[in-house]
Amino acid sequence: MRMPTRSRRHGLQFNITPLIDIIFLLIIFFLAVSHFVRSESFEPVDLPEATQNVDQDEQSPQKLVVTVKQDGSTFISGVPAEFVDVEQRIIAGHVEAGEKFEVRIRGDKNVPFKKIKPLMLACARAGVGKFGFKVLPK
Amino acid sequence: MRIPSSYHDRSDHEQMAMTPMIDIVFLLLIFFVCAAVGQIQESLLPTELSAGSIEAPDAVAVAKPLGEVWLRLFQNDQNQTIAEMNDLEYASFDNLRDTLKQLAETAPEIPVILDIGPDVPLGEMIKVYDTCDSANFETIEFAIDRDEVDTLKRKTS
Repeated sequence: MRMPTRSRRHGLQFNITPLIDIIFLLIIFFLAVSHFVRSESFEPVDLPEATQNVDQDEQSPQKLVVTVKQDGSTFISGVPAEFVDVEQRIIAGHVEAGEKFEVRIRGDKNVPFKKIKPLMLACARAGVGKFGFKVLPK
Repeated sequence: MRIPSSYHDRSDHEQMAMTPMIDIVFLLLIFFVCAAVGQIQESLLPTELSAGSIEAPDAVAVAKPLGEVWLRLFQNDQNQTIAEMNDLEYASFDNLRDTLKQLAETAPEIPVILDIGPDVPLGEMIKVYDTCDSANFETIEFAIDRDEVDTLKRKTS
Protein backbone atom coordinates (compact mmCIF):
# COMPACT_ATOMS: atom_id res chain seq x y z
CA MET A 1 0.00 0.00 0.00
CA ARG A 2 1.32 3.43 -0.85
CA MET A 3 1.39 5.87 2.07
CA PRO A 4 0.79 9.60 1.54
CA THR A 5 3.98 11.58 2.00
CA ARG A 6 2.48 15.08 2.29
CA SER A 7 1.92 15.23 6.00
CA ARG A 8 5.29 13.82 6.80
CA ARG A 9 7.08 16.32 4.59
CA HIS A 10 5.45 19.51 5.99
CA GLY A 11 4.59 18.48 9.52
CA LEU A 12 1.63 19.92 11.37
CA GLN A 13 0.69 23.43 10.15
CA PHE A 14 -1.46 25.96 12.06
CA ASN A 15 -3.66 28.51 10.40
CA ILE A 16 -3.03 31.61 12.50
CA THR A 17 -5.63 33.84 10.85
CA PRO A 18 -8.54 32.82 13.15
CA LEU A 19 -6.19 33.23 16.09
CA ILE A 20 -5.45 36.81 15.09
CA ASP A 21 -9.17 37.42 14.57
CA ILE A 22 -9.98 36.21 18.05
CA ILE A 23 -7.19 38.21 19.66
CA PHE A 24 -8.35 41.41 18.01
CA LEU A 25 -11.91 40.62 18.97
CA LEU A 26 -10.84 40.19 22.59
CA ILE A 27 -8.97 43.49 22.50
CA ILE A 28 -12.06 45.26 21.19
CA PHE A 29 -14.21 43.60 23.83
CA PHE A 30 -11.98 44.69 26.70
CA LEU A 31 -11.66 48.20 25.32
CA ALA A 32 -15.43 48.51 25.02
CA VAL A 33 -16.09 47.07 28.46
CA SER A 34 -13.53 49.32 30.14
CA HIS A 35 -15.01 52.32 28.37
CA PHE A 36 -18.54 51.58 29.52
CA VAL A 37 -17.46 50.74 33.06
CA ARG A 38 -15.71 54.07 33.30
CA SER A 39 -18.71 55.90 31.88
CA GLU A 40 -21.08 54.28 34.33
CA SER A 41 -19.05 55.64 37.24
CA PHE A 42 -20.19 59.13 36.31
CA GLU A 43 -23.77 60.07 36.83
CA PRO A 44 -25.16 62.02 33.88
CA VAL A 45 -25.48 65.69 34.76
CA ASP A 46 -26.07 68.81 32.73
CA LEU A 47 -22.78 70.62 33.23
CA PRO A 48 -22.49 74.41 33.06
CA GLU A 49 -20.43 76.09 30.36
CA ALA A 50 -17.38 78.27 30.83
CA THR A 51 -14.78 79.96 28.69
CA GLN A 52 -11.90 79.87 31.18
CA ASN A 53 -11.61 76.11 31.23
CA VAL A 54 -8.52 73.96 31.19
CA ASP A 55 -8.11 70.44 29.97
CA GLN A 56 -8.41 68.25 32.99
CA ASP A 57 -5.50 66.08 33.94
CA GLU A 58 -7.01 62.62 34.00
CA GLN A 59 -3.66 61.14 34.94
CA SER A 60 -3.74 62.76 38.36
CA PRO A 61 -4.80 59.94 40.68
CA GLN A 62 -5.04 62.07 43.79
CA LYS A 63 -8.36 63.66 43.14
CA LEU A 64 -11.92 63.23 44.29
CA VAL A 65 -14.75 63.85 41.87
CA VAL A 66 -18.07 64.59 43.55
CA THR A 67 -21.15 64.58 41.35
CA VAL A 68 -24.08 66.71 42.47
CA LYS A 69 -27.30 66.09 40.60
CA GLN A 70 -30.12 68.55 40.12
CA ASP A 71 -32.01 67.27 43.16
CA GLY A 72 -28.94 67.84 45.32
CA SER A 73 -27.98 64.21 45.73
CA THR A 74 -24.25 63.58 45.78
CA PHE A 75 -22.35 60.70 44.22
CA ILE A 76 -18.75 59.55 44.39
CA SER A 77 -17.74 57.25 41.53
CA GLY A 78 -21.37 56.54 40.78
CA VAL A 79 -22.18 55.55 44.36
CA PRO A 80 -24.60 57.72 46.37
CA ALA A 81 -22.86 59.41 49.26
CA GLU A 82 -24.12 61.50 52.14
CA PHE A 83 -22.47 64.79 52.98
CA VAL A 84 -20.71 63.25 55.98
CA ASP A 85 -19.22 60.54 53.77
CA VAL A 86 -18.04 63.10 51.25
CA GLU A 87 -16.39 65.16 53.96
CA GLN A 88 -14.66 62.12 55.38
CA ARG A 89 -13.34 61.27 51.93
CA ILE A 90 -12.07 64.83 51.54
CA ILE A 91 -10.30 64.74 54.90
CA ALA A 92 -8.85 61.29 54.26
CA GLY A 93 -7.67 62.28 50.79
CA HIS A 94 -5.97 65.37 52.11
CA VAL A 95 -4.28 63.43 54.90
CA GLU A 96 -3.08 60.83 52.45
CA ALA A 97 -2.00 63.00 49.53
CA GLY A 98 -1.37 66.36 51.14
CA GLU A 99 -1.17 69.41 48.93
CA LYS A 100 -1.52 67.36 45.75
CA PHE A 101 -5.04 66.32 46.59
CA GLU A 102 -7.72 67.86 44.38
CA VAL A 103 -11.49 68.01 44.67
CA ARG A 104 -13.61 68.45 41.58
CA ILE A 105 -17.32 69.12 41.55
CA ARG A 106 -19.46 67.78 38.72
CA GLY A 107 -22.52 69.82 39.48
CA ASP A 108 -25.67 70.13 37.45
CA LYS A 109 -26.06 73.68 36.20
CA ASN A 110 -29.53 73.89 37.77
CA VAL A 111 -28.56 72.69 41.23
CA PRO A 112 -28.93 75.47 43.81
CA PHE A 113 -25.73 76.87 45.21
CA LYS A 114 -26.75 75.90 48.75
CA LYS A 115 -25.98 72.30 47.77
CA ILE A 116 -22.49 73.21 46.59
CA LYS A 117 -21.43 75.60 49.31
CA PRO A 118 -21.11 72.96 52.09
CA LEU A 119 -18.73 71.02 49.87
CA MET A 120 -16.59 74.10 49.34
CA LEU A 121 -16.62 74.78 53.05
CA ALA A 122 -15.64 71.20 53.79
CA CYS A 123 -12.70 71.50 51.40
CA ALA A 124 -11.59 74.76 52.96
CA ARG A 125 -11.83 73.35 56.46
CA ALA A 126 -9.93 70.22 55.48
CA GLY A 127 -7.17 72.36 53.99
CA VAL A 128 -7.79 71.43 50.37
CA GLY A 129 -6.79 74.34 48.20
CA LYS A 130 -7.03 72.70 44.80
CA PHE A 131 -10.66 72.85 43.86
CA GLY A 132 -12.51 73.07 40.60
CA PHE A 133 -15.78 72.74 38.77
CA LYS A 134 -16.27 70.42 35.84
CA VAL A 135 -17.59 72.45 32.92
CA LEU A 136 -18.17 72.15 29.24
CA PRO A 137 -16.01 74.32 27.00
CA LYS A 138 -17.94 77.24 25.60
CA MET B 1 7.79 18.21 -16.32
CA ARG B 2 5.52 17.11 -13.63
CA ILE B 3 5.20 19.41 -10.68
CA PRO B 4 4.78 17.64 -7.35
CA SER B 5 1.36 18.09 -5.89
CA SER B 6 2.73 19.28 -2.54
CA TYR B 7 4.17 22.41 -4.21
CA HIS B 8 0.73 24.00 -4.54
CA ASP B 9 -0.15 23.16 -0.96
CA ARG B 10 3.04 24.77 0.35
CA SER B 11 2.51 27.97 -1.63
CA ASP B 12 -1.06 28.24 -0.31
CA HIS B 13 0.09 28.03 3.27
CA GLU B 14 2.98 30.42 2.89
CA GLN B 15 0.80 33.23 1.53
CA MET B 16 -0.34 35.50 4.31
CA ALA B 17 -4.07 36.14 4.26
CA MET B 18 -4.33 39.89 4.63
CA THR B 19 -8.07 40.29 4.23
CA PRO B 20 -9.12 39.38 7.82
CA MET B 21 -6.44 41.64 9.23
CA ILE B 22 -7.62 44.57 7.13
CA ASP B 23 -11.18 43.82 8.28
CA ILE B 24 -10.15 43.94 11.92
CA VAL B 25 -8.10 47.09 11.49
CA PHE B 26 -11.04 48.86 9.91
CA LEU B 27 -13.26 47.55 12.69
CA LEU B 28 -10.88 49.02 15.28
CA LEU B 29 -10.80 52.30 13.41
CA ILE B 30 -14.59 52.50 13.37
CA PHE B 31 -14.76 51.62 17.06
CA PHE B 32 -12.38 54.36 18.12
CA VAL B 33 -14.08 56.92 15.89
CA CYS B 34 -17.48 56.05 17.38
CA ALA B 35 -16.11 56.09 20.94
CA ALA B 36 -14.48 59.47 20.41
CA VAL B 37 -17.64 60.98 18.93
CA GLY B 38 -19.90 59.67 21.70
CA GLN B 39 -17.76 60.88 24.54
CA ILE B 40 -18.37 64.42 25.83
CA GLN B 41 -15.13 66.16 26.60
CA GLU B 42 -15.33 67.76 30.03
CA SER B 43 -13.04 70.55 31.11
CA LEU B 44 -12.16 72.01 34.46
CA LEU B 45 -12.76 75.49 35.82
CA PRO B 46 -10.09 75.71 38.49
CA THR B 47 -10.78 77.58 41.71
CA GLU B 48 -8.29 78.13 44.47
CA LEU B 49 -9.71 77.85 47.94
CA SER B 50 -8.06 79.55 50.86
CA ALA B 51 -7.72 76.63 53.19
CA GLY B 52 -8.79 77.44 56.71
CA SER B 53 -9.97 80.93 55.92
CA ILE B 54 -13.46 80.14 57.16
CA GLU B 55 -12.06 79.99 60.64
CA ALA B 56 -10.91 83.58 60.39
CA PRO B 57 -12.37 86.06 62.82
CA ASP B 58 -15.61 87.76 61.95
CA ALA B 59 -15.31 90.33 59.24
CA VAL B 60 -17.36 93.44 59.67
CA ALA B 61 -19.99 92.59 57.13
CA VAL B 62 -21.61 95.97 56.97
CA ALA B 63 -18.42 97.80 56.22
CA LYS B 64 -17.60 97.48 52.54
CA PRO B 65 -14.37 99.25 51.76
CA LEU B 66 -14.03 100.98 48.45
CA GLY B 67 -11.24 98.69 47.41
CA GLU B 68 -13.49 95.68 47.06
CA VAL B 69 -16.03 94.58 44.50
CA TRP B 70 -18.97 92.90 46.15
CA LEU B 71 -20.89 90.93 43.57
CA ARG B 72 -24.17 89.66 44.92
CA LEU B 73 -26.37 87.15 43.14
CA PHE B 74 -29.83 86.33 44.35
CA GLN B 75 -33.12 85.08 42.99
CA ASN B 76 -36.23 87.23 42.86
CA ASP B 77 -39.84 86.11 43.16
CA GLN B 78 -39.95 85.03 39.51
CA ASN B 79 -36.94 82.75 40.03
CA GLN B 80 -34.76 85.05 37.98
CA THR B 81 -31.16 85.58 38.98
CA ILE B 82 -30.41 89.19 39.80
CA ALA B 83 -26.88 90.55 39.94
CA GLU B 84 -25.82 93.46 42.11
CA MET B 85 -22.37 94.99 42.13
CA ASN B 86 -21.67 97.14 45.17
CA ASP B 87 -25.42 97.51 45.77
CA LEU B 88 -26.04 98.58 42.18
CA GLU B 89 -28.41 96.26 40.35
CA TYR B 90 -27.65 95.33 36.78
CA ALA B 91 -30.55 94.73 34.44
CA SER B 92 -28.68 92.50 32.05
CA PHE B 93 -25.71 90.25 32.36
CA ASP B 94 -24.00 91.91 29.39
CA ASN B 95 -23.91 95.22 31.25
CA LEU B 96 -22.37 93.52 34.25
CA ARG B 97 -19.76 91.82 32.10
CA ASP B 98 -18.79 95.07 30.39
CA THR B 99 -18.48 96.84 33.72
CA LEU B 100 -16.36 94.08 35.17
CA LYS B 101 -14.05 94.12 32.16
CA GLN B 102 -13.60 97.87 32.35
CA LEU B 103 -12.92 97.63 36.05
CA ALA B 104 -10.40 94.83 35.59
CA GLU B 105 -8.55 96.79 32.92
CA THR B 106 -8.20 99.68 35.35
CA ALA B 107 -7.45 97.81 38.57
CA PRO B 108 -7.15 94.05 38.33
CA GLU B 109 -5.79 93.86 41.87
CA ILE B 110 -9.16 94.74 43.38
CA PRO B 111 -10.55 91.63 45.05
CA VAL B 112 -13.91 90.45 43.80
CA ILE B 113 -16.09 88.89 46.47
CA LEU B 114 -18.95 86.74 45.26
CA ASP B 115 -21.93 86.64 47.57
CA ILE B 116 -24.07 83.90 46.05
CA GLY B 117 -27.61 83.38 47.26
CA PRO B 118 -28.63 79.88 48.34
CA ASP B 119 -31.14 79.38 45.54
CA VAL B 120 -28.98 80.66 42.70
CA PRO B 121 -28.33 77.87 40.18
CA LEU B 122 -24.77 76.68 39.90
CA GLY B 123 -24.73 77.57 36.21
CA GLU B 124 -25.33 81.25 36.99
CA MET B 125 -22.59 81.26 39.60
CA ILE B 126 -20.18 79.62 37.16
CA LYS B 127 -21.10 82.22 34.54
CA VAL B 128 -20.29 85.10 36.86
CA TYR B 129 -17.12 83.46 38.15
CA ASP B 130 -16.05 82.74 34.60
CA THR B 131 -16.67 86.36 33.64
CA CYS B 132 -14.55 87.63 36.54
CA ASP B 133 -11.84 85.13 35.68
CA SER B 134 -11.83 86.07 32.01
CA ALA B 135 -11.63 89.75 32.98
CA ASN B 136 -8.32 88.85 34.67
CA PHE B 137 -9.15 89.84 38.21
CA GLU B 138 -6.34 88.63 40.41
CA THR B 139 -8.47 87.64 43.39
CA ILE B 140 -11.94 86.13 43.36
CA GLU B 141 -13.36 85.10 46.70
CA PHE B 142 -16.57 83.64 48.01
CA ALA B 143 -18.42 85.27 50.87
CA ILE B 144 -19.82 83.16 53.67
CA ASP B 145 -21.83 83.93 56.76
CA ARG B 146 -20.70 82.94 60.20
CA ASP B 147 -23.90 80.98 60.86
CA GLU B 148 -23.23 78.83 57.78
CA VAL B 149 -19.88 77.83 59.25
CA ASP B 150 -21.56 77.00 62.54
CA THR B 151 -24.14 74.90 60.71
CA LEU B 152 -21.41 72.97 58.98
CA LYS B 153 -19.65 72.40 62.28
CA ARG B 154 -22.83 70.99 63.76
CA LYS B 155 -23.32 68.69 60.75
CA THR B 156 -19.84 67.23 61.00
CA SER B 157 -19.63 66.92 64.76
